Amino acid sequence: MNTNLLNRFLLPFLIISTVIVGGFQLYPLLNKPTLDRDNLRATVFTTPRIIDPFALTDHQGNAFTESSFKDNWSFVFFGYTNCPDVCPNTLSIMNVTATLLGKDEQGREVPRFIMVSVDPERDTVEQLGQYMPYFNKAFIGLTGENKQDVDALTSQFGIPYFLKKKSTEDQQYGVDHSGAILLVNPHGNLHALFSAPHDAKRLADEFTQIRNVYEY
Amino acid sequence: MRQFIALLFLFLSFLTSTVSAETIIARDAWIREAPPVSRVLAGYVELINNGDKNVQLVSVTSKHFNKVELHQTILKNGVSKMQQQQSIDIPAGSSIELKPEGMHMMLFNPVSPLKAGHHVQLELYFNSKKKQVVEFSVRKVTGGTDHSHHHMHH
Repeated sequence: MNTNLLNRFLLPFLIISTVIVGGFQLYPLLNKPTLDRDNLRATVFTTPRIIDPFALTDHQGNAFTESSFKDNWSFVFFGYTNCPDVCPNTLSIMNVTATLLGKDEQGREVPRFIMVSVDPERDTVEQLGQYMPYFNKAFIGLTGENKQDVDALTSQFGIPYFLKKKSTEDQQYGVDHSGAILLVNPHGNLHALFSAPHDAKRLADEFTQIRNVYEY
Repeated sequence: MRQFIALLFLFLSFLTSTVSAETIIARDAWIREAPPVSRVLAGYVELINNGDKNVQLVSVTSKHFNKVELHQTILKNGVSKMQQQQSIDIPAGSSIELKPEGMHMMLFNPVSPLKAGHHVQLELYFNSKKKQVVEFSVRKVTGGTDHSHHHMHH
């Protein structure tokens, strides 16, 4: 009699209530936003990559290392100040992206925008100091003492570049370089890559999607 | 009166046809303003060839710059390369646009700082041995010249 009652009423009740309560608890987990990778131009790494130590100097003379990436998102572009076409164009696009992201109604911090010089010989701290604020006062320029300093970052970011010096005295050389913009997350890990050509609105939209998934 | 108007039209059409048959029309000639520490600037222009012969832009000079070269930015395997061009073809009845991240004039070492609003003259030499002086205006562009920028106007 007791067993019969348990089977007929209590057990179905328990099962149904478990499903309902469990469902409510699972709902947020199942609802976690996922990246629609097929519709992203960006390549988002399935596992963000740890950035190995490097030591560069920003355009104001402050040290900038792998730990400087922490606590905010960073867009990182590689270029040089005597670049007439691609670099000013990309920095202008990043300036529009910064403006678009600045309108965030949730009051989140605007990410950092960084240009790492692949021409440390000509791009001194002073040179970068007079170059970067032209595009946006908050933009950061990074340079090193020498090629090795810069390569410590370019090699792990997979950024090819090539100085087209015609002779050792040549001071008017151009530099072929990757047009990619990399995204570093607030843990200081390499998170995504945007391939050239760039579009300001697309950069802002895709970054917002990436950040929303990351912060969920 | 009607005869006069007809004559005027005839004269005008003759005038425009001779001009376009002999010269390249330069439109929207501009130089991207850069921070003065940048020693290399880029010049852009649309060159329209209304004539019936293919024309080549072979060289550019200007007293405002130490040297001018023709370059094309090529994006290959993710790397932006600037390739110097010996000449730029402007096919008959066609036009070519020198624009950001494409074909451009590389302007080395401006003799004096160039600011937005300045105008400088560049001499364009074509294979037809013709020289054409084109006035370029210096513009500040920090708002980007990417695709989204264009869409905003449509």
